[in-house]
Amino acid sequence: MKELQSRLRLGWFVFVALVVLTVAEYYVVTTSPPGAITIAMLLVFQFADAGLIIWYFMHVSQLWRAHDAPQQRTT
Amino acid sequence: MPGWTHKTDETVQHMSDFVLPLPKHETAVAVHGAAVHEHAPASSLSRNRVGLWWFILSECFLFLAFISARYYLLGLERPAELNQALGLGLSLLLLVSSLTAYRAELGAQHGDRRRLLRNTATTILLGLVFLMGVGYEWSEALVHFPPSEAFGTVFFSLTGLHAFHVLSGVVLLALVYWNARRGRYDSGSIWGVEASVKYWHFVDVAWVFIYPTLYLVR
Repeated sequence: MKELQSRLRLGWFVFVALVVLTVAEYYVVTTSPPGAITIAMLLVFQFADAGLIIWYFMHVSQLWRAHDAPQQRTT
Repeated sequence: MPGWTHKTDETVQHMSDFVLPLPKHETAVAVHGAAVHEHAPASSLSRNRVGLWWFILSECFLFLAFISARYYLLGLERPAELNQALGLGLSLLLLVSSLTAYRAELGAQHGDRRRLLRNTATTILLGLVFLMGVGYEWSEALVHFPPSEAFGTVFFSLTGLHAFHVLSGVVLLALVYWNARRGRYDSGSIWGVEASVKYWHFVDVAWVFIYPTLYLVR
């Protein structure tokens, strides 16, 4: 139960981070002049967003740590 | 395979790493045949996961082809008529759906059928709302940039391709919901949930790149 609660909390943290990154991405593009720096920042936001989803929601690390996330129920 | 058992563990490890990057414990199972039955379920799960990731990677190339077409045809141009609020809203909607999908998977892993059902249903609902949003965006886009123009071609191809993936995800999650209601995942085998949820997250990752490509870059 404790593990479930901590993973639920982690889900919320990741979600809030994703929302902040997405809104920041929108804000930066609409307020900054077009140019290389804006594009570079966009790329950073995109890859940060994707990285968070792939790492925390898609559990990509299961590919090299198969025992970490069991298919069977944990409780 | 003749001669297979004569190879050293190290050689076999090297070969399997080259052909298919399975986790190390998998290779050990392949080498020590006696352990195959004992570890069969875990082995099968790892193969399923590797297969799913290969599939997702192949899908990435498909989306990359369309995204690169956008930059090839238009460079950094972007029409002013794009509905920015709707684009941002659709992005946030998919992020919420990723959270609910994550919670659905957690419910399945912890044998909490109610959590699984509730979050799967919410994810499906959010997916359908997303599709309605895309439909509304299409009705506006048809007026401002018809498919016969360069941006129209790119816009309708990319959003259409992505919407089709969202629709497939909704269908998969509907199957998960149906199976969960029948208690299919109560036995503990939840690969169906895990795979469908991973696919849903992939749809979200694809949108993370499509959204700035269409709406923000300039």
